[in-house]
Amino acid sequence: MDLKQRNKWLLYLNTHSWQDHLFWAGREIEREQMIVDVPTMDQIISNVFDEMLCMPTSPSDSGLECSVVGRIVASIRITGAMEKLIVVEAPMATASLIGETMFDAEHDTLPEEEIRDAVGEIVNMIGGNVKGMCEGESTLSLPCVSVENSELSIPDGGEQTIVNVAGSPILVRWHDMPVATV
Amino acid sequence: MYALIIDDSRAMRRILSKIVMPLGLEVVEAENGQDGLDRLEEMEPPEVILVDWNMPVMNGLDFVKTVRADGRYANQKIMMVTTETEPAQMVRALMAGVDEFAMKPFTADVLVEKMKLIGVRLPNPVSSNE
Repeated sequence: MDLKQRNKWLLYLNTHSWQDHLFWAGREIEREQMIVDVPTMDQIISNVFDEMLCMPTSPSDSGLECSVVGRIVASIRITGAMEKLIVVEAPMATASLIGETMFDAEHDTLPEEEIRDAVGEIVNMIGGNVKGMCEGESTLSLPCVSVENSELSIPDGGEQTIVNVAGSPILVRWHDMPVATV
Repeated sequence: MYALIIDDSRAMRRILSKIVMPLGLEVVEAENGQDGLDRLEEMEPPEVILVDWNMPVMNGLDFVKTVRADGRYANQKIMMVTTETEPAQMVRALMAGVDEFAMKPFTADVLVEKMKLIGVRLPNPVSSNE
């Protein structure tokens, strides 16, 4: 299943009944293990922000500043046929913007707890969509969200993409990661 | 007329409420399956239950199984709003008694159309989100 087929599948799921889901899944979709590359992740991010939250996304030219402190880090694990760790990092300003949109709140009025909840749901949706690319059965953990004040540190390995959401950057990285090492 | 929204994310409950309330349904929220069962006991039967799958304490699948095992809710409309999209998971949920799925991320139009599809009565079927 390539990216085009994957997007067709996602669109189909939300525009047809469950009977059609299973008919289509059984007949036409080859649910092979799909490589989660940067274009695929960018599309998933766009589905979450552009389509659901009406927050326009665009590629980031500048990246996420390594000196950024005070940021929300949300992670989620996929275990089973697929073993991945997915992490969303957002400077507090970006995280606040996302939270304000999801909660329909005024600027600078949202408590940190609500901001963490919002970013946790973002990584949950991204993780769920990645999990859906796998042929075998996998399990999605509950999201883990923290506020980090240390400098941004991106470990070796894995892949990442930086996307501007309504003009503010977020970083999404994903790693193949056996459960024992998480 | 009520909608019961069960999701461990407050942000997601807010998003769903913003879609459902303009349709004329009052919203009761619960943060997990057990909380949903407690709310269900306290309220008049809702027009629809929107329930997430992955939640702490009691997940959405166990919630649906428990509700369907209770004869009072044999005709209760239940929609899963979830990131679970694998056919095997869908079969599991359908066998438990789910009426329909909406996959996260979704749009307001998708959610409204799916509620109409399973016969949810909406006092104001034209959403203000449209």
